[in-house]
Amino acid sequence: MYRIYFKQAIQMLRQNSFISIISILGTALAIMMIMTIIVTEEVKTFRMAPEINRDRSLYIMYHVERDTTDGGWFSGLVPHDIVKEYLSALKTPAYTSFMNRLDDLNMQTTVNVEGLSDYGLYAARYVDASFWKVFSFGFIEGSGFSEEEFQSGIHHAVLSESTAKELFKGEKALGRNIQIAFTNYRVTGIVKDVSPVFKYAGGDIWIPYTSRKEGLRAGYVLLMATDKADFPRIIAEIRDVERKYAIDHHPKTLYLRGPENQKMRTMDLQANSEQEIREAIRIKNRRTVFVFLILLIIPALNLSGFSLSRIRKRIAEIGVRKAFGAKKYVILIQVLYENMITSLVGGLIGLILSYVAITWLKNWLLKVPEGSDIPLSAMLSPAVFAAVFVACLLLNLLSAGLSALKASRMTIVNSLNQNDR
Amino acid sequence: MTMIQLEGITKLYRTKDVETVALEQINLEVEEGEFLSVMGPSGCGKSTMLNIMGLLDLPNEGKVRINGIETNRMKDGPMAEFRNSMLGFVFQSFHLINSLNVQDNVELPLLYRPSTGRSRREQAGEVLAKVGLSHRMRHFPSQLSGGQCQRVAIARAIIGHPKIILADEPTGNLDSRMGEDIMSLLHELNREGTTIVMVTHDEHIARGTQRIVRFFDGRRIQ
Repeated sequence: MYRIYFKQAIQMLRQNSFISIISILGTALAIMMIMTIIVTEEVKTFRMAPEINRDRSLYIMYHVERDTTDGGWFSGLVPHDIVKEYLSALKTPAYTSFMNRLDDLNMQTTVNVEGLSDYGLYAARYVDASFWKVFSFGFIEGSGFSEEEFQSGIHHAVLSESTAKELFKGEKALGRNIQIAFTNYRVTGIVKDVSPVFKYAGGDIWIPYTSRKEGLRAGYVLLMATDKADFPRIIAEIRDVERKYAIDHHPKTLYLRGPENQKMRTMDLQANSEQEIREAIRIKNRRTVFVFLILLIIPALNLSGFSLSRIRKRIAEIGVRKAFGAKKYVILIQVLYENMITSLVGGLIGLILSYVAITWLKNWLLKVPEGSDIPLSAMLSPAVFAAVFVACLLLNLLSAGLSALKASRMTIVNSLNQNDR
Repeated sequence: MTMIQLEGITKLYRTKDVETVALEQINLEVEEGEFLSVMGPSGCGKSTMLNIMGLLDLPNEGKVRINGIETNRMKDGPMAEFRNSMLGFVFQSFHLINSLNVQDNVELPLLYRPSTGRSRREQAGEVLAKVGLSHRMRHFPSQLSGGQCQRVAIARAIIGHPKIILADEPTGNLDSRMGEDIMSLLHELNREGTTIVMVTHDEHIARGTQRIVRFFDGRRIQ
């Protein structure tokens, strides 16, 4: 039966080529929009060099400290004291890395080549030795620094390729001296450029934060697990840290937000407690569902016009089918099945278009740097196909459901006489 | 044995302001294996009667018995199955599905009963051979003449081996030679035991059948 439905659907697509093309394009564009949004969100969680361990990383971006006696509270980045006293002693994470926040241009630092007064502003990332374990940089020359070098507060700097070229005018940079915030450093490594889109790894210059007089008072904490199955144990350890802190610093309490995985991190939630996070996630999910529904309903309304017009042309056929024994639900299934074929053809084209759009506009749309590729496996994942299929199914039901229902309910005589009643 | 029995059938069409009586207290019996013609002027209710007989429409009053089974209280599902097994239809305008080829059109009634694709294809081949269209199986209706389309429609009507064929002016859209071809096919089916009720305007064709009933203004007059 479905073979014949399929043949008929294809034949009808051929026979009504204009309407078919419009319907397929309408579906394709709707799917493209949805897919682009999904991939735009998903790309933030893809493993891409240098952030290749995103899938087994947890982040603590903020802390909240409350005074239980007067209700006063303070929040901000994670203080170094807490990292040093509590977080560096965590047992489950393979690595715990602490780094400065580097989100905007205001955080740039003056840099010049020693002996030259040609100053430039660069994004300097203050990091620890674990940083080089957690991220995978493409070293062109030299290397990062070891734990011993970090502990000694060594004045070594790693530069991005374009920073090195700018500062040294194309001359060899490795082993040369530069001044960062008027302090001398020796260039010990050159890495391929890292886009600012990489929130934790990105920068122009990387130095040990122990090399700075003021160290690093507060920053982000990255906890890399051996396996993401360890996440619950890491989170439990963090909660233990909070309890220990409350005992050690009575009457103060500590809340370390999260730790959040990469996906949650990309949600960019504004919340200061577990309860607020849950509420923020609920709101975010509601918004996402609402946006997707709008993205589906608008094309569905347009496509329903085409569906209705196609059904009107086939009223007599529906009458004939019912006369020869087709039940109402069989007609309903047939119309939806045929429409689903159009939706799936449109969905497939939409998927291809979304790949083209994402690949072509990755820098503009997703801020993925030219050198970095979005992994094909991420775009061709079962989850993406499932999303497309569900979107097609919904689009199909929304656009053809009503006309299919109407068609199935018409009396046979009205259908045969083509009275659209 | 009585194959079709209409008892006190009344059919009204209502619009906002007007009520039209299409059939009024019609009683009619058709015996098994009979070939009956229904005649009358346009609008006299003969097609309405055929539709009610074929369970394509419901009467406002009266009972329809097919093969001894009262159909009035049947629900949609069982009625669809009953139509599928008992009745075959031939329409004046053929009502073939343009997006299906001849073979798929003919297979249509078998889609709605348990059957395999292979058996459907075999049976379609047999009935198309019977109507002389084996060589047109892959053609689409738009590639056939009127007479060929009607032969396809007959093949579709008989593929499910129905006991009754209801034909609404089967020769109405055909020239006389093609009309005769179609009538000889129907007569052949009748000789094989199929009960046929045919609406026609053509006196000559009607005279070739076993019995003629005449309608006028929603009533049976003969």
